[in-house]
Amino acid sequence: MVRIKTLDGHRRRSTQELLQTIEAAVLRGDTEFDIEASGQHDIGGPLWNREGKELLFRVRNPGQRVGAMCLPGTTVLVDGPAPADAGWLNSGGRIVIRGDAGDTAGHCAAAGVIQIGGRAGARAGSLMKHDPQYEEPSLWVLRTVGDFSFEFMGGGRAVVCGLGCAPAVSPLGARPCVGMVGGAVYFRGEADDLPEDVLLSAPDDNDMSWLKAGLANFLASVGHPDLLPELSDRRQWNKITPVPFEQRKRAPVMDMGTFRRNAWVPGGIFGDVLEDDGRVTELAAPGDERLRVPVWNGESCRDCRLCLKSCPRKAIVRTDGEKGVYSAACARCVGCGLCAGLCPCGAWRMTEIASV
Amino acid sequence: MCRIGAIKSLTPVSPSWALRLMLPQQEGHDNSGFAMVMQDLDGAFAHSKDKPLLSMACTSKGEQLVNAYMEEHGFTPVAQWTPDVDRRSGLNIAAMPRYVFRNYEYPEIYHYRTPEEREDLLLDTRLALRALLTGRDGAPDEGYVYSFWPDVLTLKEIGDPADIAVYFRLWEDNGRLMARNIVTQCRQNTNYAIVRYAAHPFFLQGYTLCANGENTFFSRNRDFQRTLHRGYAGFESDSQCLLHTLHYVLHELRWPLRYYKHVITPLPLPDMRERPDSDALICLRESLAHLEINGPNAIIALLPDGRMLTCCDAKKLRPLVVGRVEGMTAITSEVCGLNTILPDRDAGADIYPGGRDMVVIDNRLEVLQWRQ
Amino acid sequence: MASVSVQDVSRNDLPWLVEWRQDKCVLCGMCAAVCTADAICFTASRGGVRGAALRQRAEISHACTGCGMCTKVCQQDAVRPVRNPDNRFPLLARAGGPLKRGGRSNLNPPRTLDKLVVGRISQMTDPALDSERHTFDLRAPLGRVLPVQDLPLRVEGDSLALTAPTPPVRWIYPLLFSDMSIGALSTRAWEAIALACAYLNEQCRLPVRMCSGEGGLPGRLLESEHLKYMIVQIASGHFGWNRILRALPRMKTDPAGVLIKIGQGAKPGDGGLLPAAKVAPHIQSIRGVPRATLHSPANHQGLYSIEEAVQKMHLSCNAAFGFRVPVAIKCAASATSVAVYNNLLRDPYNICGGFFLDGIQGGTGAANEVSLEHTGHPIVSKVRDCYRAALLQGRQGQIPLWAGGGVGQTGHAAADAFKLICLGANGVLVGRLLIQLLGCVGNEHGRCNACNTGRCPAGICTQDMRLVRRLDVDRGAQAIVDYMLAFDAELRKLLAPVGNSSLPVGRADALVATDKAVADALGVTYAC
Repeated sequence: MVRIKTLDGHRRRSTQELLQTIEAAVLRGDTEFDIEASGQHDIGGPLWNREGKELLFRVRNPGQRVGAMCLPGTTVLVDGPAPADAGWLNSGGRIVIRGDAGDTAGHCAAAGVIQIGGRAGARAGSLMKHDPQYEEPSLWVLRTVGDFSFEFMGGGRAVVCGLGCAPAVSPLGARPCVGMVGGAVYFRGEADDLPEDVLLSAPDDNDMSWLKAGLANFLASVGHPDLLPELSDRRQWNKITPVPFEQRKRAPVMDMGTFRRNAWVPGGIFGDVLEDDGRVTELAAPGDERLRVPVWNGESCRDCRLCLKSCPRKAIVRTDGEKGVYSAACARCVGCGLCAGLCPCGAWRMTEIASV
Repeated sequence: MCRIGAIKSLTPVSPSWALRLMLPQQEGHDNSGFAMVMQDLDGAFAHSKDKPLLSMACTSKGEQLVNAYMEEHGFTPVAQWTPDVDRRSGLNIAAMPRYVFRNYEYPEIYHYRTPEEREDLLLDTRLALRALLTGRDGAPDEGYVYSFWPDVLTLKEIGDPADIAVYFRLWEDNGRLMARNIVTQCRQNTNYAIVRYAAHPFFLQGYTLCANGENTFFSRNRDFQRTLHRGYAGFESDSQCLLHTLHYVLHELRWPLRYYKHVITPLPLPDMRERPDSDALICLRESLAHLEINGPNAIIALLPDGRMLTCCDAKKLRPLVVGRVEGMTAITSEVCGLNTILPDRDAGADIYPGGRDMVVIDNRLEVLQWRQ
Repeated sequence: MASVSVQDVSRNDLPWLVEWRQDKCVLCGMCAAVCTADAICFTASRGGVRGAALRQRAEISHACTGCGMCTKVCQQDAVRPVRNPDNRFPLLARAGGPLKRGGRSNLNPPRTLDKLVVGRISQMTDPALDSERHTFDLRAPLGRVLPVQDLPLRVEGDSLALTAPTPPVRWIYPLLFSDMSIGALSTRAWEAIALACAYLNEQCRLPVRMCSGEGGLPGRLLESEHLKYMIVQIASGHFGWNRILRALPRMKTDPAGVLIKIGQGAKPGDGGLLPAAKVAPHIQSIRGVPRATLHSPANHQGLYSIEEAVQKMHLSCNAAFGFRVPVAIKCAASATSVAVYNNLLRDPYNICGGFFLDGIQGGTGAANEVSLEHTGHPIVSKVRDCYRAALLQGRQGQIPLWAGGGVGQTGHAAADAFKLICLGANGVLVGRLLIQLLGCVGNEHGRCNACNTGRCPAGICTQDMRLVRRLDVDRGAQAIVDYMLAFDAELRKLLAPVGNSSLPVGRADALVATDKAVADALGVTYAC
């Protein structure tokens, strides 16, 4: 057992000094540490014994990132509260905090177990993830978590027991689980403010057997084994999971036509001053939509039928008579003017017509 | 980065409490300085609490300038504490030649003036002394005036906080320097340069404030505050804006305390509309839009009446915790600070203010938690 | 052979040449059928059907506008308009008097907004926000904001209570659909914009407001709930106001605001102009005039001093809606804008609820080219000047500044908006962008700009129902909605890296300028 005190009168060992001392001891083969810290960061990881023995750190008054980057085989026991980032990037260690943990506890934890015997702060469990090559991470909180908890959670399981949470107050804080894409959050109590792309459900049998087993271990670790019966009431537990990516739908969007028909002024806002049936015409449209129309002058026509051949829309009609009588069928003619352009006699002329 | 802390105690405590509060949080700041404001003093100043106390670091020329000014304006010195500094070599401190902590008697005509007129006199005197000592056209400064107010002492210096403590013998607890309220911070630089006036806590007419964060609406705040009050000056740090707004809301507008939070971090409009005072909230958001802050911030402030308050930015992007024992409450960035000075408290009762919370501690150490 | 003289107009004198590929053309005729300028026609180059050729008319009055509808309908890629740098159009086209057109200025000095970059990024000193995850408060005031000392507030216990009404202020989306009148726009185009506005409010929770323009509002809209999204405009012609007033007793809701139009950026100091070709029967009735070219005076009549101009108009418009509706004023940006703004700021009755400034790059339906190109003031420095004038008096934000004239000119409205907001605007106005989303093909390089002719090929700036029917209201409205949703996301993308969750009005420190002169003029940091 290595005992380390970090305060000597007013002189405090810096994080750097402390971590170098610990690392040297681990290299020498020491496996058990009792550390009277004074706010030093990063106590507990990433360290490993060369012979594969377990490492144990008992820590009082750690600084931020206690148990950060912790590896399998390491246990960090914090007697009392810890500030921000406890268990940050935990990669397999077991981190037990008997008191409160600060903001972003368990942030980016990817494996291992983090057990918090009090509260966790804002953004707890954010970006937790699960690498299928290793076991999934879990984060246990006896009381409540702060606002914006489990943001962008990608995997693993988090448990918030909600102990001591005031009635009608969410144990998950404001705006939890925003951007959650994987994993599960179990909690007791009522959560509001959940984003649309997560599901709230009751835990199933598998969930409950996992929970019960974990709770027993958790409560024993944080020194509250007596709470097990109270926390084992299945009816009090809820589960949040993200809607699977494939099932996510963008909020149904009303198409503009439906909106116009249902929510807009009936008949349109100009319906009383202008007749408009809403029909949308082609850019080149026949009939009254034409910008210009061909007008035939029989006196000039020499009945050569060039217009009949040239009209791309087959809109020219020749009526047999003593001499051919021509007209443009307005149902087909779009007013392109080929007839007029080609007519060797000038019998066809294009005329602007006024809007109808 | 910086770490902030404050102690409020029923019995006076020495600055070593503040030092111990901040010591374990060392990795959270850059060890570039130490500053504290003490209010409700005991020890050397126990008998002149009603007399304005000048806190200043200066050259000897600076002291002469100040002495002449004070004499000319009718202030007579009544008490003084001169730190018996430890000049051992090897200390990391950019010490000034002189540190002046001196009580003055008001000019005679002010004996018959209103409290408001006295407050204005003290502010104007501090601003005048500051101008007097500030070097012009590249000349070096002759000194720095941090506060001039009854029962308030400010000590700031550049260097390693532990060495600064040695230099001023702050660890020694000799009983000369004691207060019931201490607000402290361990950083001296801004993001750009070492500027003494940029060190938190800031002080204005009885209001003290320090913050950990970055007010990204600094320029908007500054531009607006410049026209609001002559005391809103300096702007060496974006966090000064938070003090000016506190002073403006409480001292100038005389609004209830909780509206400070509404001004600096207004609720989103839909939330505002659900409040009973929504009309007022919307109006003050409109009229004081330029006092809104943005960015991460944790704030500790001390009011003239001795109440202490703490709150965060709306997104709760900086750490903050309040811990209590019988007779003492402390606020600080990280819980390891509390563990050091209040190891036996009920840590489960610590308060972690969220983005919409404001916590106020009154002079009986009763804690009022209010949710915006 | 026909004789040709030097003075004859040839197609080479015109701004656009229609390039036709005989080898590709199948003589379907569509190009000529769709040409609203009647700029092209067929002719016989030799005998027989195969002898047909597409000819561009060499006539000023039928000059190709470059709109490209011919290319759009041609399946063979056989025809397209080509810019003609050697044209003599500006000389020849003035034979009939001053040259008129629609659109924006076609003189394109480098854009100031493109010399500004959002350069103060939150890195380390403070965290950037996450545009998807964090909540943002993207709202801008429209209405008179009182200085705090004038608020009728009383402390009651630990609460503040209002003891008297304050001027109306609406918190709306910081982008406003700018004023394009019924008349300037086709019924379908106007309705599509109004529909998009309602959709954005009711389906997307974006409180976007639309300004009516000076040609009144359709009666059905005046009497509908959707009026609450509309800012009704009054300009010097007061067109349509008789109907607005008559509708008052039947209104279900107040409009979002009233906008007094003094001038517009495209043709500052010149009045409105609605060519006779666009004065269709429904416009004649809404406006109360016969078919004729309609000029609005350059000035509001009956305003005898600037103080009065400020007060009298504002009072009348405030009174019309019982002082419940914010009344703002729109001026063309000018070297005198700061003086105007100062006068507004000193308004003792608190009845001016916004100062809308329209810069030289603003668009219009019809103006003299000389006005479009050579009068007006760039918007960017003027917004900054006004904001700084207010700042020196501690009055920033009391009369919201809204800036328009070229916002989104390059298609990137969110960046333009964000930069203007950082310089001091509370919000921005877009007009031209909206019709471009509807399908307008006009641009700042002389393309189309035929808004004044009544022959808009997209059915937007015309009252010719044959052309109007080309416009699909639903698709047009959808395009506006889609753009606005992207705008909203992009605005967050700009707010997040500077670490702001509400609009950084006046926060010029978020910007750097890549041009020293711009940096100096605007008071932002120069970066290179």
